[in-house]
Amino acid sequence: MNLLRSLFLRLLLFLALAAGVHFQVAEAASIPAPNPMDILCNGVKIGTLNITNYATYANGGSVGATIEALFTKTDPTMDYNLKWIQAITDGKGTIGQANGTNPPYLDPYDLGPGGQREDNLPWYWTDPENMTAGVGVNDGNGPGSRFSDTPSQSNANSGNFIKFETALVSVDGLNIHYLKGFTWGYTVNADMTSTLDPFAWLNTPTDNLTGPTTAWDGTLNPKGGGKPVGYQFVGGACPCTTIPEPGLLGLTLVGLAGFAIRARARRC
Amino acid sequence: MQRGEVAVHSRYLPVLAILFCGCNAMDSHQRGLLKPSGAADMNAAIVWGEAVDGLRSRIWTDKERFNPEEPITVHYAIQNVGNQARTVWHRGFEANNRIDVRTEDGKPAHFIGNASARSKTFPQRGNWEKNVPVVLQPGAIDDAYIAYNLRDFFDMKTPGVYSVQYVHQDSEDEKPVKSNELKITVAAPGS
Repeated sequence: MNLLRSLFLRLLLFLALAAGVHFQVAEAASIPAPNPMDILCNGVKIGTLNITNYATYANGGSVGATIEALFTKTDPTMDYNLKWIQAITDGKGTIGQANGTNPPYLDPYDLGPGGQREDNLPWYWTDPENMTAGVGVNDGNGPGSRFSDTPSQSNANSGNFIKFETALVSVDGLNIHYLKGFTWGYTVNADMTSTLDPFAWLNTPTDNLTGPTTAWDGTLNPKGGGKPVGYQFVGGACPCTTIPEPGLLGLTLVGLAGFAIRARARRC
Repeated sequence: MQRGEVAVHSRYLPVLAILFCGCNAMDSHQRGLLKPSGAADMNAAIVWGEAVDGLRSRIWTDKERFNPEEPITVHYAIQNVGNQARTVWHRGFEANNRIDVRTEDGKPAHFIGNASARSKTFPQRGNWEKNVPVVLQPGAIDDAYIAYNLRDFFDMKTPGVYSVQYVHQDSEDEKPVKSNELKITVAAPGS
């Protein structure tokens, strides 16, 4: 049975090649060690960031890259108000360039209703995405613990390229604590495949990220240009809150119930 | 222990059961397995649009009548009703989702957003910078969408009944998934 299946698959492969079907096998790029990377805030390890996938992408007539980064908390009961920021730092044939905006600019550029920004915040995920499992949440690690992107374009766009700078940050109002970042990207080749940029870790943000973030005007206009709302990258301890565990919450309520029972018994 | 105290303790048992059942809620936070939001749960009675190739969608508001000024905020969810996992792409709302609003006479409501963007083809094609595959297991609901205020995009000041429908379409090869048609009443001032 296995022999038959193997022969059948080989026949399919032969027919596809004979028919001139062009396809690209996904090629993964190596991630510089360490991966997972320790994530420190003010010298304290709050978790690790693992690049679980960085590879070329091809689907139908589109090529590009795909990447996934997962943050795992050291202490599951802590919440650090995590967000992701991503800037397009350079490119040819980017969405912003098509609208007269040259890199660097923050991703996403537009594609909200009416061609506006999706929301008036500088983060990569919208708030509903940031708090949804399988989108901005890595299993039980809370909002903002997952990053994923599969940028792509027509495989006929030979010579087009795009470069990204991506960062995991902890946010307290307008203050942004930079935790870790990385650069990546891809180029569309003449043979309708794509080539990955080397992946590189960053310990501090470059001007390509800080520029458009601090200039963020809080409007829905993708071109921006309004008065900055005041986002700034700061040092110091990250904002953190403790998430009450369900069991602890239950015990607290049992205790309160006990007090109520005791008070009632005294009245009787 | 007095008999009366035992009776009081048993009264709290259902509360304790509910509290500790909550511990299992973390199981639904598996990657790629989207859980329905609380809002979607609470609105279980809201009708879904017609299923197309295993997907269906619905929209709802928190009330039916609005005055001519207040925000008309619409929630949106897509469900996989097929028996295989499906991918819904998050690449910016308007890349593959469209909001249609019609007045009582069936005409499209006046669009007050970026008119040039409105005239683009739908679904939009080509170059994606934010492009995220969200895997929906059978039965799972994707409600990770901003609840937009329709008044940011459409002129809905004139009193009357408006029909609202969201359309999801990832590519021209796929059939559009249309939500339920939501009726929204804009009341005259003072009525």
